[in-house]
Amino acid sequence: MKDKQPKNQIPDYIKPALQLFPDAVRLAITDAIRRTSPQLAQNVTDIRLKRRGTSYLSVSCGEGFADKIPIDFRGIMTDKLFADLVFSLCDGSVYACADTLREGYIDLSDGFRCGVCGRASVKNGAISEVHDIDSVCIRVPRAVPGASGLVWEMLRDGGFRDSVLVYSPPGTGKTTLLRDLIIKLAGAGLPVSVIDSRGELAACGAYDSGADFFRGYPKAEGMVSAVRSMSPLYIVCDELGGRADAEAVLYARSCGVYTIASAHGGSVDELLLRPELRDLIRASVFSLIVGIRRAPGSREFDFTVTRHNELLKAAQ
Amino acid sequence: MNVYIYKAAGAALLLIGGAILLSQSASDGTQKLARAKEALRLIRYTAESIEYRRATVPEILMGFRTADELFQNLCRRAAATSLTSALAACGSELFDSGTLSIMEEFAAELGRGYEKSQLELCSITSSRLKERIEVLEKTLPERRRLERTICLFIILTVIIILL
Repeated sequence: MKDKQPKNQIPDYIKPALQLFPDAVRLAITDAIRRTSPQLAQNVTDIRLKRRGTSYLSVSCGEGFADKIPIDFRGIMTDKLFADLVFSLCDGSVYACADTLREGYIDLSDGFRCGVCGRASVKNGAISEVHDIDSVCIRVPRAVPGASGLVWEMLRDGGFRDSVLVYSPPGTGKTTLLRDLIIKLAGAGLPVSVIDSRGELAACGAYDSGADFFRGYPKAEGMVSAVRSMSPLYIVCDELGGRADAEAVLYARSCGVYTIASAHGGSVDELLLRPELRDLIRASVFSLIVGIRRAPGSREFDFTVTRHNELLKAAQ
Repeated sequence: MNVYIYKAAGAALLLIGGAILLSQSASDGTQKLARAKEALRLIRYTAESIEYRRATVPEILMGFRTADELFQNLCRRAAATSLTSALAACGSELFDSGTLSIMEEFAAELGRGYEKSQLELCSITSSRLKERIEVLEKTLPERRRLERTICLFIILTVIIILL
């Protein structure tokens, strides 16, 4: 007689995400988690659902996704069920999500990022509407207390007078680190404004930390609004990119406000390939650039710190 | 003597029963017409909320105010679940069959498209409800005439029984 395979508990950090789905979908996902290895079950980062093809849970192993847990939707996932799933993710109001759908995501509550893709209607060269959504990717946020580690210590030792740029490839944990910094900075009584364009930074207790959240604001407009209205010492934003964002960071700095931001990149050299980041470095906005890496299966970061004077040499 | 007592009791039961049925029917017709008008007001409110505020469907339903408590309960229930399931649960108590059918078709499409198609949906539903209200307003006097005729019939029956 075969031994029964032990069934895993559903990790606490995934449970809120499961409430987003219709019952049939939720049951299939929980079944997949219960039946997989405990190590995989504890490291789920994304829930990827597809109308056609195999749906699965992504498992993070540091840089990039090393594994996945297939979800068995045979006989369950129909076109109607998938359409109902997307409809419920839009809170029963597709029209209210039109702006974010054009940019490829749905703004969910509680810090979940829901990426979507389907068929675009294009008008005058720009996406006007997205129809027949057939792929959904929900990033599951996870609190890692102390994730900011060395970055927090450097800020504290510097008397909270440093702007910081955190970089890494996608999926390493920049957003997790920023959330931990928000909680620590606000907890230390410092006025912090968070430009939360996609609703991800508000998750895992950051929203209740005492920081001021500009939810859904485009980054550049949010930073300018924050400087003018909330008198922050720090502005925190995720995924800095584009000329407008860089100008807003410069504006904030000229008003005495420090910025903590993240950017995609594998090294300082890669960051310097982007003109807007290179210009910010030359303008001495960021006194610290911190690269983060994570060993496979680990939740602790390895930090690579590049200081201002080194940055200037590299940027020339 | 006993026969008269039984006849009187039967006549009284007929009169009381008839009076209750007729009064309920009269107020029922008036209420259903009033609720059809409230439904039209809800559709217009929905269109304005979508066009000027891009409010979500739950926000719209929670924000709609009416003095009709049953209608308000329908909106609250719909905000928590969906308009489709709220209508399935209590729509037949509120609306006549024609108005209910229009609202069910509206509920099936509400929220499922972009702004332009949703405003078109509201516009079409408004037109249909206006037509339905006109029909109800025309048939209400006829219904009342029918009720008066039934009332007369009951009275005559009672008299015949008593004779």
